[in-house]
Amino acid sequence: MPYAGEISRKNPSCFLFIVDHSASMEDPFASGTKRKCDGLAEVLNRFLYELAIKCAKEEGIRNYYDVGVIGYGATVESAFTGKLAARSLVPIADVANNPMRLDERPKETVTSSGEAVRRIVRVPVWFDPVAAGGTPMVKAFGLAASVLRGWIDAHPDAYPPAVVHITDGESTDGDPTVAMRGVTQMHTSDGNVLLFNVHISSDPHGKVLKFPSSADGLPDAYARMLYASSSYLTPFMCATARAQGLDVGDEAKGFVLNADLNLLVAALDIGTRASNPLR
Amino acid sequence: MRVDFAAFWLHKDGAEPSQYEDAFAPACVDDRPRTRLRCAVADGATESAYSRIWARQLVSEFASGRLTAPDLTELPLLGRRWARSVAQALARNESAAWYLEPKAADGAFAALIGLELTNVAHADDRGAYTAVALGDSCFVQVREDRPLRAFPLGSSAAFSARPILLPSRPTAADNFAGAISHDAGQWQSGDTFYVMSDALACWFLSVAERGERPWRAIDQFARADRSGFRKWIRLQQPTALKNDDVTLLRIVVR
Repeated sequence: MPYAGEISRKNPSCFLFIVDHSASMEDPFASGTKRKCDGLAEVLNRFLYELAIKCAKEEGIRNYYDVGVIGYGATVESAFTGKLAARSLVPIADVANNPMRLDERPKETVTSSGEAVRRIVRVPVWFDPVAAGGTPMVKAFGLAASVLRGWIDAHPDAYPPAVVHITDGESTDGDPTVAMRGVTQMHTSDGNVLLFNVHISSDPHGKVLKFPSSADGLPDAYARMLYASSSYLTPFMCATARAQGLDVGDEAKGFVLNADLNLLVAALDIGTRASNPLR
Repeated sequence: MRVDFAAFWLHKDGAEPSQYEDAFAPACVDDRPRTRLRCAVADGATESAYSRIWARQLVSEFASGRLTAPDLTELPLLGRRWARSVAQALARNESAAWYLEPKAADGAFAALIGLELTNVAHADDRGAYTAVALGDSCFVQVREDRPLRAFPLGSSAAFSARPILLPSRPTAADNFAGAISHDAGQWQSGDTFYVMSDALACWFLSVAERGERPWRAIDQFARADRSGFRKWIRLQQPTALKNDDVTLLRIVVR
């Protein structure tokens, strides 16, 4: 049965994000005034924060995952900065121990006696918002393919990498269908690489689609391309989506269209779930 | 009653012995006559931090008789003790990484099986047992070379990847109280109780379901040194036995 592999320090898995840094990310989400680039940076920082905590033990971070973030816009390259700059896939311990900076933020907590206490907590930041240039999606997927090829060669029996592609627009360097297929055709002995296409939008009238099971009702060729290129959700991901109140079929695909910030967060959560606990 | 008690444990393959997160109590039991024996195995969750402390507290409190109520009502007190231990550990570490405090705030989780054997008055060769469990650590009672009772899970198919566990910091969303299960029964002289964390328990039941006698392999180790157990476990992992911390208490009642 695919997607049943153990995720452990001996057999780590991999998350690769391919994120749109084009100029249009400066525009706000359809709902609200938050810029898409701000929302994306927040969501990625939050994801890495939670992944680091998930892998944390009292002695430090356990390397259950290698993580990469490819940004594409004015450039196509690893979005990590500082000590992680230019690194394509980074063990989660290195990610956790090398944020770009640690912000100090106030946090209110309630003690066991019911007293509200305000204190300062340290919050890691890996990414600031970026919005510049075009949408070279083909080039980004080409880079992703070369990164994943190396990782799979080194981890042929691992739980397959999950690739989460977040974009707000159409490719400006050609049809990415072949490049996306190049990624989803890669596989370990436990299954093919999983690709999730998350389309975020500034269009208040855009039709919102959440993990559709068929191409019926897709508004245009671009949406159909993203749908066709996306992987099917694993049964565990389907169950996770249903537990979150989403109406998904057994053949749901990892694709959302015209997502707002909440749907973006939900899509990341669903697309990065493995059925087995960490070992 | 007298008991022949032996404890075996092994950390998961690829980890350090110090990263063993199961716990058991007592560590050893002499063979003097006794009217009662309380023992426990706990399995600290890998995905939580400081779960080793939590698992040790649970088994220690159960074995010493301080965790007694059927619904484990002493747990909040234990949870506060766990939180104090963790806060002290964090306070001692001035260069603690940013993630340790939020991780500790999530609490620790563990499966627990607690077993109490008692004498029946005026009889040395039989008695009663009670057990409390939450999660997938189990005991199997074997009599005359046949399995008599398995608790709380009765078949290998009942093991899941994500059992409900005992939290050190219960929240309103934690639905563990209703998942605590109880068992009671009888023992007679010559019975053997195998108290195990989940990986070994699942293997034990699956082998027994094939009509084989898994306790015979285990009983061989009781006569050998501990290194035999460890070698045998490594041979089973990860195909027959999942790669996990392994704990076994073998208790022969006489």
